[in-house]
Amino acid sequence: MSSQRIAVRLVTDVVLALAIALLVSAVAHRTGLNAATAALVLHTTVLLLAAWRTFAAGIAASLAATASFTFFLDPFGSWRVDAPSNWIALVSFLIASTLTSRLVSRARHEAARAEARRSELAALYRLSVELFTATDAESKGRDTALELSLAALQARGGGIVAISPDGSVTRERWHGVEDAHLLSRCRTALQRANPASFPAPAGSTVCVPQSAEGSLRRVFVAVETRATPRAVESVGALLALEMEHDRALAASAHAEALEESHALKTSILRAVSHDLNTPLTAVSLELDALARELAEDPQAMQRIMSLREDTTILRRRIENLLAMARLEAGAIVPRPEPVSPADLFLGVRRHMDLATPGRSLSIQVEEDCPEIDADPSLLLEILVNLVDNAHRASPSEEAIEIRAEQIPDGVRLTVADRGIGVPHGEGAGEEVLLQDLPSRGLGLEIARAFTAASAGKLALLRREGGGTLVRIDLPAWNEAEAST
Amino acid sequence: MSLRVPLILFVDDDARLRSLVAAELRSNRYEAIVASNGREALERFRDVTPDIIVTDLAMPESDGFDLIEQVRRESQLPIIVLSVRNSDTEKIRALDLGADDYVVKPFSMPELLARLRAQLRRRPAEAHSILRFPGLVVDIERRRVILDDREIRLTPTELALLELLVSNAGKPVTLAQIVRRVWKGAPGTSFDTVRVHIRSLRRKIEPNAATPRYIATEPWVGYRFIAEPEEE
Repeated sequence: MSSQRIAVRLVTDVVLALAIALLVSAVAHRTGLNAATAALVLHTTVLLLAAWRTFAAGIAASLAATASFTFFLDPFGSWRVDAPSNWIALVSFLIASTLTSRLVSRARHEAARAEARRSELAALYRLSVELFTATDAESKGRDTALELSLAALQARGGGIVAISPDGSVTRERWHGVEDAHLLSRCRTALQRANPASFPAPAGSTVCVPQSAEGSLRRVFVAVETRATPRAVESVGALLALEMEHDRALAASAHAEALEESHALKTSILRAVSHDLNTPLTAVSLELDALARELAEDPQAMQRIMSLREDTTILRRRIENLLAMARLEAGAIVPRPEPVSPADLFLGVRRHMDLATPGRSLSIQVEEDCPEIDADPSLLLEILVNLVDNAHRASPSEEAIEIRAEQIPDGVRLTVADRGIGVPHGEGAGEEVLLQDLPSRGLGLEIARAFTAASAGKLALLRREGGGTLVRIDLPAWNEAEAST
Repeated sequence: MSLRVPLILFVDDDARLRSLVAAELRSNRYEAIVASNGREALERFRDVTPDIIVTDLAMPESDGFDLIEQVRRESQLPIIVLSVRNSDTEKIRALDLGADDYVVKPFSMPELLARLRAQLRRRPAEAHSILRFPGLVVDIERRRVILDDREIRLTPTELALLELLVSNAGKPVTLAQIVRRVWKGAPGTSFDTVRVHIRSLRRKIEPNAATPRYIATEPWVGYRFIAEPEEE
């Protein structure tokens, strides 16, 4: 309200109060009311004016009522105010008008505050509905959420500001008018760790500290808002929640997409495996049939044996390529279980019987060697690849040795041959770095990758007396944990 | 043993593989019929009642799982499934639905023939109360176990485990089946409990820890009694 309007209202109230007080007193004089009744009527008039109009009207009415009480009542026409009854009347009128106008003013103020709070709550409710029920990304973009928040606060501008330890300010999200004192105001709010309100041309600018993320500290700012700091704080919290909600939705969508992608990769690899293995089985069976039909022809049998060997190599390579594809596609998730080294070596022997019949394999399992805590299919892939490498790199009359023993931190598996897999050099038992190898086939690569996936460690060593020794250290299965 | 030639129903969606396997089976003194999917196989099974079904799992229209489920409602005949490597969930699902064994593709004919022989052998053996294997005799009725001519003492759980494995010799028994049959599905029985008892049983019956003669682990699936029963 402008000061001119306030002055006009004040004058109107005073004139009105004087007029009514004089009118009531004149009527009381004409009708011949006694002093007590006239005082009661004037008292009521003062109360009504104080309640209906302003504090000034109440005071004016009190003074006018005292004056007219003195003037109109006996003795009529006298202005003696020293009579005790007149003083009592004046004090009584003043107290009544002051108390009433104060009470009415407070009630009006509380009602206005309650109305403002109700409006803020309604705006907050509308905002939360708009922020959290519109899940469609197109209907609720990042900026839309901020615009809705600022509109709910009747702010002319604002957003989320990030302040780094070196004092630089980044407007992570901003909409509408700028604030010239943004950094200092945000710092004040951060120092107080509470909302800070600053007077502005239209309303106030409110800065609300938000939760910190690492060294970054964020502040929600509403520029020239009519809302209370508490409402700004609530909207800031809602906006932060909405951002968190958006992040969670995005993370969930990402996880879902990853899961779908993982399932798709697994399914494709399984289909590829099926489609590659079916014709390979047919080729093997065809060779079996040919071998039976041409059993009497030594030359044909020799060629069939050679073809069988090629088929076995092809089969192994396909398995390795698929294993590598699974590993790279993230489709291999190790599922550890207790693996008995003897069982594992039985699997290796079965593989050798099929792939390299006649090749001698020496198996040793140390007494009381614990079980390995690893994925059995990965362990089998590791050993089969290492044994295949050993088979190719060493003379066929030399046995390939595999051994399992207990070590302080787990189980050690070794595959040893007398071949040429690692370059000759000084010092038996010396570790050979993989990058120093003249060639690293897919088999060794798979053994290395699967050992790492099994929480193990693979090392290549020069064997005493010539040859290669591959050492794989793996965790042992904890029997005590399983028993409980 | 019956003198009748065993009839094998081979089910696979690959026509070349079907004809090759059928020819190989016939040349190994089996009778063979083929089907290209589960639905066709079910019709064949109802028409001719084969002795064993060998089926692929991944097939269009009606797959191997459907076939196992349908056949198990009507018959207990042996079913061998063809699976691909690293598909243990498929193997376990097939075994739990009632399949008796699996062969991993690409397989060789000797491998498939060995599995067929094991299944055909297993059927009459089930009726016997004394099961004999090289170096091991299990008398189910008297609850006695003789290892290399010496009676060995087993705990009741170990004995129940051994009985379950030998009566399914040659066939993989899943961990879930073991819990169901030996522990009667008692609450709190985990697969680790089974593993602990299997290890204890192995210590008593396996003469050489490095090379198991009787019990082999089927990774993730369970265990298989690998010794072949002696002819009576």
